[in-house]
Amino acid sequence: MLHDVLKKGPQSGPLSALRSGAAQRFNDAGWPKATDEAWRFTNLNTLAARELAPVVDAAVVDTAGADTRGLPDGARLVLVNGMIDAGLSTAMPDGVELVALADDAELAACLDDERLLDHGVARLSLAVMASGFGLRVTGEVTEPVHFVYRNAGNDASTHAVGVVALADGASMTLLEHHSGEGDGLSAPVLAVTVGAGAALCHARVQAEGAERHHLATTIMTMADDARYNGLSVQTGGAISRTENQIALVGEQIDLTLTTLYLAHDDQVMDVTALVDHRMPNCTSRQIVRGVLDDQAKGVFQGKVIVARDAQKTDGNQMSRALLLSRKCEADAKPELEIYADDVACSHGATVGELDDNHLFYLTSRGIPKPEARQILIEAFLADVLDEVEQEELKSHALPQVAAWLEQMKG
Amino acid sequence: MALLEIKDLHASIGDVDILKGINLTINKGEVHAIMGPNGSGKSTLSYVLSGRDGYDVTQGDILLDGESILEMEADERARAGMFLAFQYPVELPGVGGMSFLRGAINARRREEGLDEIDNLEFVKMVREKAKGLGVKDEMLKRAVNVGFSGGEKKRYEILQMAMLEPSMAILDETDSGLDVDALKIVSEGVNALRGDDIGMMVITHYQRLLDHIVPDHVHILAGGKILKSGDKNLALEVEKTGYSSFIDAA
Ligand SMILES: Nc1ncnc2c1ncn2[C@@H]1O[C@H](COP(=O)(O)OP(=O)(O)OP(=O)(O)O)[C@@H](O)[C@H]1O
Ligand SMILES: [Mg+2]
Repeated sequence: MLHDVLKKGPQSGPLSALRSGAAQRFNDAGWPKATDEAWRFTNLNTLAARELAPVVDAAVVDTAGADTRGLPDGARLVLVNGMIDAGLSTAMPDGVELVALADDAELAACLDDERLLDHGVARLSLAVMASGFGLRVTGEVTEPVHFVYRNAGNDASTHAVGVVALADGASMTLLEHHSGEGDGLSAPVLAVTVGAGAALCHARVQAEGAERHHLATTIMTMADDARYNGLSVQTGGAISRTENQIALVGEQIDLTLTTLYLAHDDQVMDVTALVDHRMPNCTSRQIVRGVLDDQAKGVFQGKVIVARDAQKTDGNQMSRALLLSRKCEADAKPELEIYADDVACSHGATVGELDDNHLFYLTSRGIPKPEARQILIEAFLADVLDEVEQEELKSHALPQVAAWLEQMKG
Repeated sequence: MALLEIKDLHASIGDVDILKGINLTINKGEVHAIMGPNGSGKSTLSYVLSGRDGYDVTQGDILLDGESILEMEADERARAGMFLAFQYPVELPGVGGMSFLRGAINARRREEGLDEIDNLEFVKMVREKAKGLGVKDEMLKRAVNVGFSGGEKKRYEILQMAMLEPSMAILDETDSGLDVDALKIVSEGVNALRGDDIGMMVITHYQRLLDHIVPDHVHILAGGKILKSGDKNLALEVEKTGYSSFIDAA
């Protein structure tokens, strides 16, 4: 099946070798299995068994099912079932150049990365991508750029593949929003490079429909003095994973990533993050908060690697999950691999429930229990959101949190 | 008229019996002091009255305004007029003090079919009452009880009481942790709330508080039972002789 798909893709250009290599590896290995360490907690067996058809041809995309209402104002790239919808997209601001990866060997090379080729799902997206897009960012871009991913369809998978390259000294705000209907799979891949002294503010919302699956892989490579501030919120999908692999390959890098996952019913929601400190004097701060209700299962896999040369690393990774029902489950695998001797690193993962003392204090003041629970869940999330300074990130991502909390009430 | 009637109340946690047959009636306008050794069940009584989960009432009844409240949840009891000033007020990180107070007031107003409180009116009211109790503006802005000193937490409890205007207030060791001046301020705050429409149960170890908040009745609770009841002079007696004479006599 995959072979047929590949035949339709470009047979020449910078992507063709990459794609056939990725296809080869996917065909050899197949879908990730429960026995793969990286997929121990998130089982894709039923998804793999469904033989989803990759959506690869813009001409045959049925966009009718994709909800294209409520698009954000301003500069936006709209990807319907993984492909750019030129009609719905708008012009990029000054300093941002949109290219097709098939025509841009330099940006296409960002995808030639073991972090993607070795990834059980990302390599499928590389193999079957219909078109890849790239953003080349230079200078200080003040207007935020939206990536709007809209998916629809049953028994099909969509594979948006993109590259965002911030040149040295560039800065921008990138706001991603993923939503979709039907029981298909969205498997977006994004490769980001943040050049020396460049700064990226990034918010990501995963609000897929309840039946969909979402397996997203973002890789990022940061150079000297680069800055990253990220806020990621996920609420959607039957099975979902948001995976970030971040390599700090320069000095004096500052990275902050705040991640919230909110799951209920039978959702399986996975947050996987790897921060790889390769050079000295960098700071990384990752805060993860999960709220789980009903029979939901949350997975947090966090790993911080500090290479031998990465002295004076300040690396933190802290995950807390809040279980609202007796039937939900939180799996956590925090890992710290330190090869340098002069570092300040901390990591941890805790799982807890709402505190009965807190609940009683609120209800003893006349506040009904459901409302009291709501207040405490918000409080659980509030202290991490205080860490996020960029209003643009909050105003992009927090309505999704509010909507989730609102549906909890009902 | 009887505001709170506690009838042969037995309560346990798990299989440990803690309250072993308490009888007590508090009429409107009265202040009852409860004294008793550590671990005698005073806080337990306050929790059972206010409807905390985890306690089994195995016998007896609690009536508020003539109606049994045993089946009511803590929040329903609070909206029916019950208020507990905690011995150990609870810190709520991430819960803003002002929205907490507003939420509590609005919960009550909703029940009474009133609109939510006007925000300006609310802020004015909090400020005014806070000032009287020596609660600093800056404390109001913080998360509930977070970073408050022991004494500040106690003042904040009384501020909540002043805002919620309960008909039956239970004050569990409100004096502990207060310095001499604060004790005076807080007592004045409590006295200002005394009146014909409110009943109070004041739990304390010390006569000192009762010099300020003069009780109509004093009860000695030990081993989950009321061993003796009397007027304010009973508290003076306790101060002099301790509890052993009462316990031995029982
Ligand atoms: N959760 C619990 N499980 C088991 N026993 C408990 C629990 N809570 C309280 N107790 C016991 O119940 C008894 C009464 O406790 P309570 O806190 O009501 O005492 P108190 O009179 O308020 O004491 P103090 O003067 O020290 O505040 C004590 O023996 C205590 O150990
Ligand atoms: Mg006590």
